Amino acid sequence: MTLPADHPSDQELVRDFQAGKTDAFEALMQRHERAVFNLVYRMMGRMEDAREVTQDAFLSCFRHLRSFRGEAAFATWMHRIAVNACYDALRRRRPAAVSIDERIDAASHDPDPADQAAAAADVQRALLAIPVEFRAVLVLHELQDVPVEEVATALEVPVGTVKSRLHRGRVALARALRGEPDPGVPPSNPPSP
Amino acid sequence: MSDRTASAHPDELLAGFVDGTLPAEERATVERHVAECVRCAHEVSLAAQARSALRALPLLKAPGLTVKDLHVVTPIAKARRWNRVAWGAGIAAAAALVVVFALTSLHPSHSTSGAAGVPANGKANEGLPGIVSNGMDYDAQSISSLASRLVAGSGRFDARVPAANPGVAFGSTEGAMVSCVQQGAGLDASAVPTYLEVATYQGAPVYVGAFVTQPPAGSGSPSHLLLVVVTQQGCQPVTLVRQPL
Repeated sequence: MTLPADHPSDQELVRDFQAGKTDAFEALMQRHERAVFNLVYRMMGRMEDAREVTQDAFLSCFRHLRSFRGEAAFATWMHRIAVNACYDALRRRRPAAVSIDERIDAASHDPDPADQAAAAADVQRALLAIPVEFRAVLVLHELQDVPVEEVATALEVPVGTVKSRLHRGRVALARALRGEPDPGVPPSNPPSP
Repeated sequence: MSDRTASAHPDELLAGFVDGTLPAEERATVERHVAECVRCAHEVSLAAQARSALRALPLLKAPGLTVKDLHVVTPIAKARRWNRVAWGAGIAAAAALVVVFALTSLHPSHSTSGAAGVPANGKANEGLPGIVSNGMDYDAQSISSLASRLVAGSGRFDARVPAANPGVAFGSTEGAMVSCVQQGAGLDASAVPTYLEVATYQGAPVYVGAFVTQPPAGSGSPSHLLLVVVTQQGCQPVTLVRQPL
């Protein structure tokens, strides 16, 4: 993200927060909320869950930010927190039919929002049908444009694992979109803590 | 073109191949492989379709959360978190204040089980909330309406009423229901039960329970009424309404 010169960087905001300026956290939240919310929604598939888990993620961030050492970028660290919050929520969630709640941004200029929503709902449904490890990689890399190396850092797995999951996840998603079974896909359970 | 053995497939390179980020040498290697391998050619095609579909997904609006929202309980999972965060350090003991309100005056049309209906006047142990059972089938709107009636019907709850053991007012049946609702909502014993109902929620059998919760000491926040709906089978959370008192 390129910021205007008069806007503090994430690193500066983190430092401010650690120095006791709690307003800095509000600024970090505003800056990253949309990305986190979208990440979480794509992982969870339900708006109400996404809002809750986004809150959980920021609450966790708030509670741990004082001890954040800046070894990774704040955004990468936040991705890790958000994905872990999703894993936690998915473990807690009882099995149920997932209703896809796809709301198009009012600013969208798509000529047919209904078609776009239907297509997006199909993709979201397919996303929810693939293993969460694949889903996390796809959401971070494809939707958040996070480079493979940073995905590896956020998920704390080797780069090669991310590349493999990215490919396997794409294939699994495409098969899910076509309604084809994917015999190579393991059960979709969140990783154990 | 032919298939290859699994070990010969360059799986780790296929993602970069589809992304177009491979160095020229690796890209040429993959291109040669894909030209001869049915399996990899098919997978590359599928992966490209998936990539395209994912990148066409719309970016959703953010809900506009603020730091204040991180401490606000709205849905049921927030009740769990709130208890975990705010009450986790022994605040529960300080929250042992009981509020008993007149069930009949709050919700007269639902009271069929002889609930005592003691006004919030300080006589805590005289009032058994009892169990309401009137065949109500709730939905989100009617549950919210019930919460408003519970709050408005008694005016402001008298949170000064002490009770050494809030749970003692309930019999075993009520106690089991209270436990079920508490379990479903993730509440601990410091949330004081004030209302119980056997009902359905959109056709499914549920228990409806209201609890009064106290804020962390010194927080300046008001007490709240939590109206919780859980399934009768398994005490699973269905919904929760929170209103300040």
